[in-house]
Amino acid sequence: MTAKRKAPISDSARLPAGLVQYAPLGLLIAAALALLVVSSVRPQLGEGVRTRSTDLLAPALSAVGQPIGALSNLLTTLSNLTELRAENERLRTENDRLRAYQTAVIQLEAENKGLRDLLKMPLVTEQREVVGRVIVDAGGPFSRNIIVLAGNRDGVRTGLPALAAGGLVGRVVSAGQNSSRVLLISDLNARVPVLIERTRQRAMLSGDGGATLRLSDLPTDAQIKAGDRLVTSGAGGIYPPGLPVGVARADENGRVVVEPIADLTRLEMVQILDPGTPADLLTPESSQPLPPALRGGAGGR
Amino acid sequence: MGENEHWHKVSDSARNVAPFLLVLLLTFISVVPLQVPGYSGIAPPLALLAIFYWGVYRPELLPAPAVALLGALQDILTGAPLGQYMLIYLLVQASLISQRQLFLAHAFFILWWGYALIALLAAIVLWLIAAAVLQTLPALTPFLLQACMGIALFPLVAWLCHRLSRLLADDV
Repeated sequence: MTAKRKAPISDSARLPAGLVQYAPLGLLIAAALALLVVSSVRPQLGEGVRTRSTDLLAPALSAVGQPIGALSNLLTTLSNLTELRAENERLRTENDRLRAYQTAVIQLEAENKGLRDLLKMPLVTEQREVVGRVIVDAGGPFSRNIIVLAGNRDGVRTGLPALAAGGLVGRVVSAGQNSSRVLLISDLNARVPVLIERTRQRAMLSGDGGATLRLSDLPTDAQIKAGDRLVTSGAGGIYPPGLPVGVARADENGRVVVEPIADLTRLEMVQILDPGTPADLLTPESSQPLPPALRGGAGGR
Repeated sequence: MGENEHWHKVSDSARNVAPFLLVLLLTFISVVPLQVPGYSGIAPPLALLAIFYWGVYRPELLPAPAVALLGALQDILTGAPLGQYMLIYLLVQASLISQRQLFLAHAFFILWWGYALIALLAAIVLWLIAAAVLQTLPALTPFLLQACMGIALFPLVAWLCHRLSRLLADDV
């Protein structure tokens, strides 16, 4: 009889113990859910914490990443050994082609300088660049961003464009003291106003987390074909104009997609470009009036 | 005597933080660049595998606040909305409260199967979060691929955790 009475007391005593044991987990789940809702509605709220934490962790990430990157590179090299001869041949052909381009560039540079001298326009040499090593390449299926080991201390600030292998990679969305986060152009939220270099028609490039970019907002009479290069248009002031972004090609369904010039899937180093503020670029010399002979049509530049 | 006690305390502390440090290291490894084309888009959160392991075998060594901290760290490093991985990791830990006895009583294959099930459910939750944040339905395939990568790597991470667990037990 006594035993029968004691059993329920024992069970009820165990229940609060379980509650006490799992209450912190329940509370943390509720807190995580609340944080998720708040950070989804106001993404900028936690940005300061994110930037400071990344700054703090940057040395450790760099230390962990270096041996892993070296090992990965070694494995890639070993697996590519069989293709070395073909790769060598391809590089030789590309080198010949680039030499021809180099000659053309030298000629154009000289011609450009001559024209600038004629207009009494100074050469724009204020552009600065910072090269940073990629220490985090993460994101997940739809979010694509990297963390670069270069920050405010090196002159990096929010909004600057990042390039690799001569092609646009993305832009700095937050910059800490010694590290910065770059949102890649392949991110689902990334939008890049572009020009089709051949036709000078404007369009919009957007990412979908994959290897290629989608082209939208093309004019109805747009003429685009495989091999057309796309460069930033500078519209909206997000990116400076003229930065190479990608090359158009048709996908397996016949739709036009854009292949980024930079290999966004294997980023090791990126170049963060500071084109300088307009005040940097203006010198008293550049604000001089045009020579009388060039006033009129040429003055429209 | 006093010195021995001191070293015993240091050893105890090291044992308590070792699982956390291992998961932290796995978090770092899962986000550093591997130079493998397309890998970063489907790189599995390696930390989740270890959190699952410790949640089954030694939950006392990785308590909920530590799991929450590791989730926040994953959010910070990957640029995910804050709270996303924190929630996923904690939900995985919560799911183990009722299931860990089952996993403990069976062979490794059942544990692997259990992880596969939980990883796929976590992928669907991640996909739903992405849909809510982006206000559009993204493709489910990359999320499932990410989960499959984790499932494939589970034996390796479980072996690592097992080795550490044995090391800590020998140290007692």
